[in-house]
Amino acid sequence: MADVTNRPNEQNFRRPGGSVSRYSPALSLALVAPLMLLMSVGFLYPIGSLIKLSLFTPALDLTSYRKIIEQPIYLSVMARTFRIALFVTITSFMLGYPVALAMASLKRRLAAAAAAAVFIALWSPVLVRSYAWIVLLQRNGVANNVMTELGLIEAPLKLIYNEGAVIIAMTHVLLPFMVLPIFAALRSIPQEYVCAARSLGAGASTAFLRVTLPLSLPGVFAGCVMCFILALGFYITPALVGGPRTLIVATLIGQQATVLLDWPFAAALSTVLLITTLIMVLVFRKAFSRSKGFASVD
Amino acid sequence: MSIETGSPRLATPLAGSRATVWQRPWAAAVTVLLQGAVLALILFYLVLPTLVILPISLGSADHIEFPPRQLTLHWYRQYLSDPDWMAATWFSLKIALATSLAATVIGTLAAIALTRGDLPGKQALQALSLGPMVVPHVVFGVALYLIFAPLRLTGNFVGFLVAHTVLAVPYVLITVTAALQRFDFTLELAALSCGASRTRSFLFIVLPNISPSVAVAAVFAFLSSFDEATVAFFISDTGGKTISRKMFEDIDFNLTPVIAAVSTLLAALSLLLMAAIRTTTRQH
Amino acid sequence: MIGETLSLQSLSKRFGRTSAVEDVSFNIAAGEFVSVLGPSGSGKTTLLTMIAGFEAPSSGQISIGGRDITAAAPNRRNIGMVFQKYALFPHMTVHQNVAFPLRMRRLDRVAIKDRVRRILDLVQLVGFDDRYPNQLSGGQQQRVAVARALVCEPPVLLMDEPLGALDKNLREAMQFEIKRIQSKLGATVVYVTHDQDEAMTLSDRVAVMCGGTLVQLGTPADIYHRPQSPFVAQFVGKMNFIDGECQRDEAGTCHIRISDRITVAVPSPSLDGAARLQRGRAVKLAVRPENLSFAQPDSATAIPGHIDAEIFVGAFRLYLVRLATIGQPIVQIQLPASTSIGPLRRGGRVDLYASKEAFHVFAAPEV
Repeated sequence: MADVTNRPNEQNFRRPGGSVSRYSPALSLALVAPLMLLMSVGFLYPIGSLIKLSLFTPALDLTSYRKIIEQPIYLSVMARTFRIALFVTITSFMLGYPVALAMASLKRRLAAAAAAAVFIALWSPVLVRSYAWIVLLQRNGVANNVMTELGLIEAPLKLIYNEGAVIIAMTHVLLPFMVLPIFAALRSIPQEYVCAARSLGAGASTAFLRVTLPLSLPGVFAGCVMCFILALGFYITPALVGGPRTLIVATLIGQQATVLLDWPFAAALSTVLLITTLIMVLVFRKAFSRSKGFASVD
Repeated sequence: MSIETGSPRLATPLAGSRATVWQRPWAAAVTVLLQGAVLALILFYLVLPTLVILPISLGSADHIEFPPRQLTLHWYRQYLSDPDWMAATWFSLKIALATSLAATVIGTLAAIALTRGDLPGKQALQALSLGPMVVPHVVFGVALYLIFAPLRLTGNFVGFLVAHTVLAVPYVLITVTAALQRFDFTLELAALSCGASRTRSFLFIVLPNISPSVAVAAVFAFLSSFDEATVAFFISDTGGKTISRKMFEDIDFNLTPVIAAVSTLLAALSLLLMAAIRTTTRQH
Repeated sequence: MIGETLSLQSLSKRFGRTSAVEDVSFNIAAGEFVSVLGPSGSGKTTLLTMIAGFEAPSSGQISIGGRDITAAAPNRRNIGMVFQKYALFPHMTVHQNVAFPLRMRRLDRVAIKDRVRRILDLVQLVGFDDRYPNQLSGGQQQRVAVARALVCEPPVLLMDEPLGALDKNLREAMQFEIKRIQSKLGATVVYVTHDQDEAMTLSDRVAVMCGGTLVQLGTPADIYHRPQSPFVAQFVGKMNFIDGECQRDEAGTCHIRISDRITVAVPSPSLDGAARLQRGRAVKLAVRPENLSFAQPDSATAIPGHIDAEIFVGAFRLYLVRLATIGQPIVQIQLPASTSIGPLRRGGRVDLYASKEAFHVFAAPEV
């Protein structure tokens, strides 16, 4: 029979009166130590320094924040940021719901085609896709070329460096983030619910409107919040596809930090963007945990 | 594109309705066709940008030409022979591989502790480590530049490694935590009752069962670094820039079809890696 | 060595304020098969996890073969364990699963091969070496789990509801299989189950648990015929309870009044060492359905009632009888299926009889 004495190295895993099913605090701490070090040095410290810079120069100084509120140009940048984010979210929902529905409800090959399209869009690098939109929309780009050759237009149209282009390209980037949560919600709806509705006399569209759609709302909600949050802080696409008249908060931060070198102002703008995002995340989490009882159909 | 009627998983307007077909066959057919057309358009919109770069990269003209009149690999050759592009590519590859390794190790260890450990403040730590997914990258990039510039860490391998590992760790945490939660913990008890020590039961039983997910997490981490553009934009400099920063600059100043060639390669790499993950994980 | 004694001394486990196991003590002889029987939440699984070493007891002592193992790590206890859902390692073949405990004990390859072959032979799984668990049926997985637990010839084998995942027929077949292997090897087994039939079929002794405490320990016949509490009486087998009041408790006979006119004479519980029942003490009179009949034996008291339902259950017939006295419950009477009680139908009046020895008396808890 094996030695049954309690060796010191086993102490790591067991406490008197404790359970073997959990790792001891000491071991757990050792396991998360690298992560804690990384997060403090590489994340909390830089972000903290940025916030500090926005507030102290070196005494408490709120000029940068005042600048955001007092100068109409910056307020209009804020307004444009929200407008574009809202627009992109709505467009994404309108385009995304049918795709999610197709993935969840169509026959295998068609659903697979829809899923493949989402997959390709999701996993193509953002920079590559933004570049592709420039190629498509610019003055001598693909869209203008094709339309000219087809005789639809005589002179090339100005399709890029405006808000429309930003919305088209950003919607494209964010669409998969809308489709996937809706798809997950739709797929978790038991088929019997719809069958039950149909057997109780509901037509296909009634069954959809009264059963499928309400049950997929948690997914819609998650997708919309995700899109909105991502759209608020988006940098690459608006920086490349947008022009000087489509400055949003993210591109304004970039401009202040790299071109105008007004660091306290860039830091203040960053702090505002950060806090807005965090508030949205917290509100979203609260709302989501509340709706969980209703959404627990899987 | 046509939409077949029949017995779909869900009764939806997209799938049409037999009752409607019986009453007004033409109306139902038109509805189905319209729905199909709308869906096809959306799907076309989704894949168009990715698909358009390939023909552009193969065109012979030195400006954007669509459709290309003559196919050539000229721009790929130019990419491969340009020392600037090559330097950026190697820099990116080095960073991405190191990031993948670091994030996978750090994230996996932490995931184990967070799912199974007796740790005070666990939820706070969990929330914090998912922070990089929530914080806008432009804010993170500017913050890093602020810290890195005086330390001469811009355009620097270590600087990038720290930045990209922070960004990649949440993916690893999520993937590995999910695998650990799926893992049947009684298997580890069974190993202990078979006489395996805690360490050996982890190595022989837990690790083999979560290793596919750890591998997936490593690929996620690699791609998240290799394709990362926003933070790279802020912490690159002339001494060291990633392939995405180089692309960003060239798009702004010098829009040649070389970028289309690089884009095609980048997209192909991402899509092939992700497709490989999907097919292998589906087999399991 | 396979088959050693196991001794639990005042074992307790508390999780915060709740007490999962409280002061449980018993000894198991070498080669004995003991079932721990109880409803879910009775602490039987916690007891098992403490013996296995997965949970440390809050107080008390566990010893195997006279050695105290209370503080030993689970992997140093040398205990074999069969888990509820088998817990076979999915990434290992049958051979690798069964060889795992031997590998952990660093046996050489030849010895491992030999012992795996012998144990697979014993559980009748020769030729399945290279299959993976997901390529086996439930019963086969069960055998692999038993083989893996026994391959090291552990002094004690623990089984945690090992047949719970199998369907009824397979479960019965496996019960005999487990019994065969156990008696062939002479293994000491602690078998946790909530299934009373399983416990009765397999065990030398049954330990009944309720609310974290051990309420009765005895042979299956003991438990069935001499339940020491209403809980054991109704948890093992079926039991009718009739409310009554003690009138006299003397000379080994207790007279229980169950209505104004009816008094039943039953064996006194005071013979088992309990104090005599006070006059007027409220009691529960317990009698099993198969001990009741409609036919009058000598010197038995008739208990009148009305037939509520007759149910054919294959091997026997079940009658539900509403007792005539107001406030008394419906009792069940089990008769052979061939019995015909003729014109008695729903609503018909009947008299119930049982021999004196068939009754048990439990004092109702004092308010």
